[in-house]
Amino acid sequence: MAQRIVIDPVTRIEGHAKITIHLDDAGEVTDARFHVTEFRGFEKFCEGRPLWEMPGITARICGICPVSHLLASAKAGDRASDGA
Amino acid sequence: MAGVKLATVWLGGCSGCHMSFLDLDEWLIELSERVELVYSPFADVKDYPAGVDVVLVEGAIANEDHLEMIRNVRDRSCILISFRDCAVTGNVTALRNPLGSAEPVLQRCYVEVADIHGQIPTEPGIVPPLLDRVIPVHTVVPVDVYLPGCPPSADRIRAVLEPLLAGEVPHLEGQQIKFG
Repeated sequence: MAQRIVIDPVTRIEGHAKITIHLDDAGEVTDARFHVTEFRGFEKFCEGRPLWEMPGITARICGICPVSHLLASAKAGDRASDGA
Repeated sequence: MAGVKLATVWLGGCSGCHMSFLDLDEWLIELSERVELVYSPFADVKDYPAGVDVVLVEGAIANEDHLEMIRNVRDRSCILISFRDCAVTGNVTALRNPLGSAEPVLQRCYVEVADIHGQIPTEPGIVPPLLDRVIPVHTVVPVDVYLPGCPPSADRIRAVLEPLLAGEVPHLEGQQIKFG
């Protein structure tokens, strides 16, 4: 009998996710999916906000790797303002 | 109060507050002797257990899974701590609220800037629909203690947990209740 195995939640990761594994009648794996269940929309809500807010906001994309997001947005800001 | 059942829950946020919790460093050893961590993203427990004494809830309520989770957490916990600015005010997670609904952020990220197969993901029962407005924890369930900060420093987390472990009500003031 076809079956779906759900791993919920996936632990020890940054972000929220589930994994589904789909089995056919013979119990063989036919598909496996990684579902990202957390979504905040930085790509949209950052639009139109002051440039100087970006390092502080984008650092909150991920509490484990905030520095990489902070530096990337600072560099992007420098470039956009022709400073680098 | 040995054997206090402690849980930490992570809703719509960045996990920075959980990282701040790990910044408790050597006090974690002392804490581990006094509490039993029964549910947490740090552990591999899948279901939120009953009979939790203290729970730290990080993050805002942003989707339908969060709504179901926070109601379960409230039902099964004695003291619920609204842990960090996203839980207390909505903070960065709620920055999409002025757009009016979840649709503009989903459309932008999954369709307009998609390199291939642009479509908004749906998987009934698996991928929870986003709420149109991100809301703080206390608007859904009663909160016992507020612990602000983005993230709160390890000292501030300790200033809340220590009195609770001693059976006292924590009282934050001055620098300890600063947002950000």
